[in-house]
Amino acid sequence: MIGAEDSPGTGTDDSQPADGGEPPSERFEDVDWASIDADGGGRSPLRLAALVAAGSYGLAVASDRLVAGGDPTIDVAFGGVAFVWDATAVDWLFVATLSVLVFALVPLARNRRLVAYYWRRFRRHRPAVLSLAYLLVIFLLGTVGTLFLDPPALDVAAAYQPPVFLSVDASIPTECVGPVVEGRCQGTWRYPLGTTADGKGLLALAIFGMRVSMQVGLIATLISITIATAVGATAAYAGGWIDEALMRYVDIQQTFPTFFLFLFLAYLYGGSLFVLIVIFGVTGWGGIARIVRSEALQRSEETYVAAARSAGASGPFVVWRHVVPNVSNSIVTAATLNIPVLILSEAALSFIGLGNVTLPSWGQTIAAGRGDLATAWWVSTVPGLFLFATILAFNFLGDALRDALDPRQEVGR
Amino acid sequence: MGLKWYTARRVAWAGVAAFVILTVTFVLLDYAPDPELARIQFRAAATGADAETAAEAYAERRGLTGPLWERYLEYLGNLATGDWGWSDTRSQPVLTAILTALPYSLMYTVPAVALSTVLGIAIGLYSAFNQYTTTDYAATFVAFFGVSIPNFWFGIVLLLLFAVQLGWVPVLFDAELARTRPLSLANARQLVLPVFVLGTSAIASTMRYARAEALEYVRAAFVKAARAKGASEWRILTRHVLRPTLVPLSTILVGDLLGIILSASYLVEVVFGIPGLGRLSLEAIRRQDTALVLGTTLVPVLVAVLGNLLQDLAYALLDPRIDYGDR
Amino acid sequence: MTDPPAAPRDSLLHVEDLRTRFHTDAGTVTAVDGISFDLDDGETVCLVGESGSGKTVAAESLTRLIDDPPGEIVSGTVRFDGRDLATASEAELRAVRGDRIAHVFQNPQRALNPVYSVGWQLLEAIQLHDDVSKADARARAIDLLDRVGIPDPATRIDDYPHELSGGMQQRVAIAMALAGEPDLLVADEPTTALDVTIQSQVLRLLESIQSASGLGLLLVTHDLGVVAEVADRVVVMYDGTVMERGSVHDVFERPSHPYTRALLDAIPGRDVDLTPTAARDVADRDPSSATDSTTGCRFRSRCPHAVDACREGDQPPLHPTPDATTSAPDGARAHVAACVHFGPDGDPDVVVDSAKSADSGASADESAGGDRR
Ligand code: SF4
Repeated sequence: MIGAEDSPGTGTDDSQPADGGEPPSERFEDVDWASIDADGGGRSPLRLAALVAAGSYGLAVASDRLVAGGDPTIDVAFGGVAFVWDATAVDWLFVATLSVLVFALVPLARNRRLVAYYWRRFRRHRPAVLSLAYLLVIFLLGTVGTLFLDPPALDVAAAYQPPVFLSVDASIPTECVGPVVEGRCQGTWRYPLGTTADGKGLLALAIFGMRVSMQVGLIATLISITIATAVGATAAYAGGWIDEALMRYVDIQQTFPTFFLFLFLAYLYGGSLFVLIVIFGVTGWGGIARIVRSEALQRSEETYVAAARSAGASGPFVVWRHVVPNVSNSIVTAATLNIPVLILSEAALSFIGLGNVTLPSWGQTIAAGRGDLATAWWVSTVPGLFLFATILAFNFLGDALRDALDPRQEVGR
Repeated sequence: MGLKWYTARRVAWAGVAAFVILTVTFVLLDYAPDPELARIQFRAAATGADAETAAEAYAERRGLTGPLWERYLEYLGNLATGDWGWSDTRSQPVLTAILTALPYSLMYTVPAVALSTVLGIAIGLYSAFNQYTTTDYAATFVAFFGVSIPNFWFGIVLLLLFAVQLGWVPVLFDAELARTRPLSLANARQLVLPVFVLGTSAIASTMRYARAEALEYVRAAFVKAARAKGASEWRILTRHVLRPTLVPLSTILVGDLLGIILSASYLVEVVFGIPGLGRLSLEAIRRQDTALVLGTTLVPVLVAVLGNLLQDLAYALLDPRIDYGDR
Repeated sequence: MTDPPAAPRDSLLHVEDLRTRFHTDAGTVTAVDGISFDLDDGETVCLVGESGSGKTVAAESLTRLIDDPPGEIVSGTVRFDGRDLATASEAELRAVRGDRIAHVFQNPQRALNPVYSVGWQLLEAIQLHDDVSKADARARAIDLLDRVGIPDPATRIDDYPHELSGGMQQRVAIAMALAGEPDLLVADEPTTALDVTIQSQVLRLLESIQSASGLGLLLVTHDLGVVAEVADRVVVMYDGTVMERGSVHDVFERPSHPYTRALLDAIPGRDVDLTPTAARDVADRDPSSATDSTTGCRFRSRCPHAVDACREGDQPPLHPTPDATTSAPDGARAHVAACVHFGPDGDPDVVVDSAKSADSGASADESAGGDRR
């Protein structure tokens, strides 16, 4: 039967090499994700670290909620830079999300050879590499950067300043911060991207918008993939009526157009960032659950699962140790492609005024600048560009990840 | 099991889905804080009256008394008989408001869907056949662009460029013009940008899916067999690849496209000031007209249920291999 | 490469020094590296080799069916009926494909378009080359189905491919290939994907069609049993090159090339799959070995008779074997082997004798006796 794959030209399963290097015998799915799970009683240092982190996290949340109350969580000054951080519920969630991400990445990073292999595959996608760099910058600015920056403040005197190197008719800003040349107000470095009608600097707004977008995208996606993995893996493993019921539920949830579900729930329960994230997280997992289920179904057929089962492993154990790790590549790809959808949804809901109006979200700023299109075009344009670039970057990244992590989906190379 | 039985099952399932969705929305509504009630209570408290009494009076007026299941049955019955409630802010039945707004929405969504479907499939197939060429890369880039660009922002930028700066199209949508002379050139001019913005997002996903699906077949053995028969490339493209591509595409298209079109049109209407369903819904949200919010949410949801049904039936018609026993 | 410089006779198909490359991310893979062979009217030539030997690519290169890109025919001639197909235009090729040269592919289930009925696909094959009315074409299609042994063809014609068994599907595919009344039928592993019981039926069908219509048959296979049964002449391929070529009688009776000998030794009944374990898992193959980096004889690493000379230069050219004089005298049909031991300075006995001691050449007659020439 071997003659089947004779021609390098036919189909995807041909014998010709598909990439630059010899594929390592292990794959992404074989990473020891389970080293962070709970069997074996705390022998691994990583697990210890995770426990310590979880413990201190719990203490920190408790102290913030119970002790600090309305005061800022952290208020220190060093080297003339004030470091004030009044953590909100969303911030705490965000910290938790980032910790989970870190602990998920450690086992992967330990395997140098595998990382190198995936990096080689990933590197072929030039736009995706650029996207990754861009997203890292956005992420760092949005998380670390916002801790050291003052939030954009109201300053009516500085309203409608044009971006640096650009100018606008001097009658438009209340007062021109920069020089006025031939009746035109010049932009200054004080507000490199100009200001809004409230005199808020657009650069600062954009940077604080990054935090909002990252929080929405990452937290809600983590919630989603947690639910999706649980549901998808359970459905695949349990089969029978449980599978049927779960998947029928997903069918119905998927029928409801996502945007209107968000819209309706945000209308009913208010559009604070926390509520939005929860809505996104608990309603947006249907598609990923389907992917997890179908992948897990394929993997469940494989011998190691049968072996584990016949060795007397319990159902949930088999799912957690054998099925879930083996669909992790699909989950990573799906999650990456889920993030831009959520960021866009948050921006859209903020744009139509359903979000928290005081939040420096990109959608909010775009909406704020709509009325000034004819005079101060930059107000809507600048945050829009960031939004666009971020979504584009996530899409490029997701596409390249799918390609790098899942050679089976590669077509006709 | 034959096609008839399959169809019957699909229709029944669509009914179940619609029923579940209606139930869920009812429960959500019932347990959600009612802004109108809060307002009445606030007003009562401010004027020194008893907030509790005011709330009861309000509940009486809105028919919010009685056991849950009774109200639920009434809710379902009303929806079925076309009584979708009364819009306080517009002083007209919700259904009337929706029917008035609908033509404006259709005016630009229909051309946008038609254009993006035809062009999207054509470009996607072409791309698949010319994989890794400059044209393919260009098409892929356009697809990424279309998927990623926030359409409400894109609309704003286009308005800024073509309406404010260049003055080629009007800045404000003239509803009167659209209503009285829908087929005039002037109306076409004010619809160009909405159609373009909506089309960009729709065409992008159609294109990507069409390309991905067609790629499965471009190197398929049966395409090679057709080539070995002496079929021309055009024939292979239009007969041997297009048809099998349409099968999975039909399932993706309806579901995905519908989601995109419904949500994108909402935002497009807000940006361009088109008094369609999206604007209606937004107004209702802003003025907290719950009955109208519900109505304008249910329309797209029911359209989606119907779309999914049609998609299943199209699938059965397009693919001779379908196993009717499947869900 | 260096065929004896025989002026190409008027054979139906004359392939010379055909070279096909695939451009991949990892570099260029020369799947077919300078092969030559001939095929006459009414003759059956078997292209035999293990998976990855390039035999399918060779067969599909004849009418340029390989995917281009990434595939590319870099050099060589494919003279068919006096015309060079390797340099012919797309339009000329289209006129030849299906009409003069037809193909049958390995997996009938994949070679038939799943969303069209059998009739639609047959009618297409007929009407592409013949300007006949739909009714006439349908009548012919039913006739064709009858010829390939489909029972009740008048109703079966409206079936979809998935409603037929694998064997029936392959019969349909053969009917489709016959639609244009071709002069040459290229059948690529036509029985491999079928049940064992069906395999011989389909093979029988091909044989009977060939004897009835006198078309040339190029059969690509890895199954030496099939070769012994139907071939007139054999071309043994390994890693993109021809290792040995000759009449089926010569090759089975007096296998000369160490590779051929290894193949025949490995299979007691001679009807076992020719699939060494090395090729069994194609995906596991080290990709670097597939790119062009080798020098010397390609079979060297597996050859029991390898000597220093095997390391030098390119693949050794096809040298006449000692029994060459006993078979057809001209170059195209001589019994030749690409091994240094058959070269001017070599001693064929190094290879031939050692095998004799292993006593396996002797049994050649029993199964290869079906040579009907
Ligand atoms: S040339 Fe050398 S390595 Fe090649 S087959 Fe002959 S003896 Fe073996």
